[in-house]
Amino acid sequence: MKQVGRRQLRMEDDTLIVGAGRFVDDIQIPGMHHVVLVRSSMASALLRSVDVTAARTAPGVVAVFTAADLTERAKILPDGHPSALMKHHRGPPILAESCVRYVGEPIAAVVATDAYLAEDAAELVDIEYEALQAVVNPEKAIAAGSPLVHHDVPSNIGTQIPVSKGDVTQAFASAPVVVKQRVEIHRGAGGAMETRGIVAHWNTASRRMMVWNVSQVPYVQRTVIADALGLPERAVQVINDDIGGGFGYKGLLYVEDLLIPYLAHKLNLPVKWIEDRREHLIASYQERTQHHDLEMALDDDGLIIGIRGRFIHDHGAYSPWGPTVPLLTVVNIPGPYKVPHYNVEAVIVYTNCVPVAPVRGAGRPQAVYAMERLLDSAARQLKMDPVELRHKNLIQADEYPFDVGFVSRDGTRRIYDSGNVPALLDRAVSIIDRDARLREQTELRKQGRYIGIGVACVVEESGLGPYEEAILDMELDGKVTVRIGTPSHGQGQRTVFAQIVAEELAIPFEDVTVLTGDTDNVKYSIGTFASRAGIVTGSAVLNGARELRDRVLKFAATTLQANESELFLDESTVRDKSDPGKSISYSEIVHLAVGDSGRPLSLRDFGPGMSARSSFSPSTNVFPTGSHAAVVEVDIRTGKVNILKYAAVEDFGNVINPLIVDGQVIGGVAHGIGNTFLERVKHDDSGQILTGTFADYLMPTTLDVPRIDVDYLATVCPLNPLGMKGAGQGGTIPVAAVISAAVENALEPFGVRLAHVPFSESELLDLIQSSGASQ
Amino acid sequence: MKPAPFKYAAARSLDEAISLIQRFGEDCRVIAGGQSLMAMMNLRTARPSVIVDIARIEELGQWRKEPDGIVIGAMVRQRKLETDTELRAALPLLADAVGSIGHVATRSRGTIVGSLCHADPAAELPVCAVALDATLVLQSKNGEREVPAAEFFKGVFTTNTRDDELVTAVRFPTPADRTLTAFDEIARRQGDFAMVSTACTARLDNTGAFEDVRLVFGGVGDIPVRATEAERSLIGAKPDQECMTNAGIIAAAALSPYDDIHATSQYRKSIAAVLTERVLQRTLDSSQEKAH
Amino acid sequence: MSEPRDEIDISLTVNGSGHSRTVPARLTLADFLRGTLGMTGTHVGCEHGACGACTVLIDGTMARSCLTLAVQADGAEIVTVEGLATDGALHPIQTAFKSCHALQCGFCTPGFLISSVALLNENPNPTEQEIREWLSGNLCRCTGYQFIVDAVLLAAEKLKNPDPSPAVALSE
Repeated sequence: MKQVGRRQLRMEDDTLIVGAGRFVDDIQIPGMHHVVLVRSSMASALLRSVDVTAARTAPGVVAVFTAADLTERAKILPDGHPSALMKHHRGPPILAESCVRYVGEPIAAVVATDAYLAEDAAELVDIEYEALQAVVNPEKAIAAGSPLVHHDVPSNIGTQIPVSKGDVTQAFASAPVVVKQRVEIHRGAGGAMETRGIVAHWNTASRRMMVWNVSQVPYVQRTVIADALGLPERAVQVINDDIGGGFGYKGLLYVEDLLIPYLAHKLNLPVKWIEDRREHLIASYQERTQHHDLEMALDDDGLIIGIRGRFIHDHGAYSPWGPTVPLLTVVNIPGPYKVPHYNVEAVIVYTNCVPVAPVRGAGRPQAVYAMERLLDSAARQLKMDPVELRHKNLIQADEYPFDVGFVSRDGTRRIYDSGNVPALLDRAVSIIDRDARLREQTELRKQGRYIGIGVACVVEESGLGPYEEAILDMELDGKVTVRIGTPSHGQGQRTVFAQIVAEELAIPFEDVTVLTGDTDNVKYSIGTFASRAGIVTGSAVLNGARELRDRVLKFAATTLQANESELFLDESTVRDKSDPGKSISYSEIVHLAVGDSGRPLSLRDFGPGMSARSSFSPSTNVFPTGSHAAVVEVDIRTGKVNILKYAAVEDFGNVINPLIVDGQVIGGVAHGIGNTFLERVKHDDSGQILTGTFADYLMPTTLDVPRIDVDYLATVCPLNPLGMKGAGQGGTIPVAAVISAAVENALEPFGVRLAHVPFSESELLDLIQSSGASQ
Repeated sequence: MKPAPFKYAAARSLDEAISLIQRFGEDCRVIAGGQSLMAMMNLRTARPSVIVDIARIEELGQWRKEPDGIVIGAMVRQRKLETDTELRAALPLLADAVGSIGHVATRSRGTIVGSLCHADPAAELPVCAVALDATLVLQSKNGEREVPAAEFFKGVFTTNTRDDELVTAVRFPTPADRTLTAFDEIARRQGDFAMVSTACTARLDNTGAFEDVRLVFGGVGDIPVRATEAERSLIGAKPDQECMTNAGIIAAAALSPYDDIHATSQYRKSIAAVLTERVLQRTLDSSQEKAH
Repeated sequence: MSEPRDEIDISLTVNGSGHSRTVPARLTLADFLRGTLGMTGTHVGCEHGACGACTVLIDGTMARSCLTLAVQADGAEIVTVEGLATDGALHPIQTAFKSCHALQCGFCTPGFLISSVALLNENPNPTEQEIREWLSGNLCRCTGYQFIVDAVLLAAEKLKNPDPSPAVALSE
């Protein structure tokens, strides 16, 4: 039965819909204690003293740790994602020792019998700060005289990443048309419904540290924990049964990842730490702000000659995951367009705010926003239809593989493998019925109503290496167990990979069990992020399934004394085309392969068991693409924007489960809508967070997200056996650009220019009123 | 985020509740629906040492019609304004406003009186209470007193309630004949606190001109604000777009709203003008609804 | 006269089973269900009443269990997600969530299921707009809500026309 491409319902749902999921806060271990972290209330200060005496004697408290209680190897968080590009890498201390650099930085850990008592005791920790001047605006941070976040990082510049090709100086010198734009893009917090959390238990019987967490990259934690505790890797096990959403920021390394197991080890007590929502909005890594100053040079026909400029990236106080976000921005600005000359520099700036690291989209929404705003600006200047301008510059279907001209995030040459973005754009435009909408726009303007249309195109890299492994075991009952290393946090890996195996081995979907979320499953795994698991783990699973299939066929051929080419797989059985009487079930095969106690193996040359162990190692990135279009109506008296229609047309290559991919796209668009209107992390000038609860940090609700029209035009990816490209982020990446373009188009009669995102009703009305629009 | 420690008592009678409140004074808080109080306690911005639960005092869970108005007990849930057709008919302004108050889950537990006592500057019910000339009924060991809504709201989260008093009910007087009402607001998202909210009551004379108008705004100051100048501008005027627009301009000009992270003062003034027009129009339209 | 106390004896039923415990006054109903009773199906997403993940039914009414004290629920009948299936048969809303792919990570799901059940109990024929308004107090970061709305519409259908055959394995 055809499984790949099927809208297969998810097997994960069976436990989740009855409330039998096992999320980190559901883990209960006898004797478990709770940890509450005391966090800095100052953005920049020297720590004169941290007095824990009162806290230590509070009811229920067993220990209070400060930096002084940590061993040397557990004092600083190692770089989770080392990059040679980061000139001044600064890792956070596990607990702040001499100073604090952002509001929310952990200073002490209170361990008590329950979370209520731990919170009570945390309030008793008495901290004496000597306030220093904080800097929260990245442009101010690089200006002369700014306070330094790290005393030895000049001008707070963590690093600068220039990316270039061709000769922009020459290109711009002779360009007939130049558009210049300054944009400010803010992306906000992660906002998974499940906050972070860790349970750590030193199992004295097995002498292993067991850690349950929410990590998308559990093997990173395994390595770091082992190292910090002086344990061999095999003595650390990281488990995640169910993760309540990851969105990138759970695929990173935090001080708690090291601290909580450290406490469990030191105290010989199981401990649990659950981030509360306030902590999440203050202290979980987020994406925050970039300020772009870019220019685009074009010829008179609208062909892009070059792009140059620079942007300033607010990196926060430390660099726990390298310059990933701004690096992705700088290599993604050209997008799916042909840009012959390019020179953009990312300036990565330390500020006294929480560190910046990937959140769904990971720097690409910023790139798309900057690029698409430039294109709209150019279209206006050239008096050209914005869709036509894009068509002129998009990479055409026959131009793949397309060498962008510089290297990607993974250090390999950035070559787009396949795609047909013009077709995606055409489809998106057709879904929203642009021509009819433009006519409608003209009519409605006469009535004082303002609708607008916007489009955007995107390409993203996915499928990062170095590899993933898969172990497939066929068991005595003929069913198959698959072990992988990439944890799932809502994207249904257990279902999708079961579909691959079920089809390859001709067994029922229900007979495949995929195990993940346990570092004991496979030796190493890189993790689930950057839309890589479907491709890399999926390809490993496919390779493993094919290996297993071969083994089954060869074994059956020998056992049945049949010609292998005559054999086929059908419903967990191997059958002979030329002799219907000849067949052997998988179960029988496994029994033979496992053998009987005390007797020789029937097929000794095959070796024991019916398993396969395989991997997939990508040579380079693959590049999904997309084109979105939106129709909006703007109320010019209130600044309210209503999304009338939203189309997302994606090229994810081959898709294993279209139902799941639909969910990824729609959910991604919803996140993008949040990034367009609602989601902003606000600090005051002293670095205090103003958006510390969901009352102020606003997430999109059922009334903020319209029905999304999703469509696919796949071009098969030639670089992996699945032909797949990765679907986790494409929904989110272009949304802010599309909607901003649509709003600007709606307000064209007033000349309103949108150059920052998100924008609230208040900010939009201010722009409308400043433009002199009649009330 | 767990609450700080406190002691709890479930009062079984009004006397018991009042005794406890008298005894513990400013150290104690009353819990009715708890939708506002619990959030504050979880965040530890409220840290009472005693909580007095009034949910089990049966008489507080009732509302009744009296000759001169409607009396709503302190435990009547906001959701009653959505489900009780009689109550909705008696208080159309509140029925109009209730859909904007939080979400159905919070309205299922939160109480009408509770919201009034919480006195959030951006809450909807205080605005309605002022528009309808409601009075709050407060009881203590010394007896009962009534405070008009216009005097009840003193400041942000601050009311004219003494430490030994329990607000037991809110009384909405029977409106004059032919009173029309409407409520409107603009919030960031539906259910959020309003950036600006507006309640309007109006009567038209037999020539169809405004005879009596009340316009009250929320979200523009520490307490609900009556737009008296705008109200005056409408008296005697025939309801047309011009006078409504004009009223909006006057109303907005008289406001000094605050800036916050969601909206600027200027924005609030702008939408106050828009809301004035909208709510006046809706007030007029409500007469059509009543006729059918 | 009830004297204010730190610890209170409470008795309540949860999904039809009676429980009696002595609880701290400040223990939230969410923590009572999850910690004291070990019923971890109800999830905690924000602890300030904004996300709805903790939604349960108290005496048939939707309530955010993070904003409710366990002691307030003394004498009440609580229904949690674990109590939606009866005699091993899933509630139509549960099967609808699966068949419509209305969940991804599953963390917000219990709150949505309970809220949807409360809606359908009161309004068996909700329109899309009514569904969206009713569920506007429940946050989901994964799904974008579209398939959740589909699931509620499907469940409403199934409740009106009970399907004698088992739930299909495939979405249509």
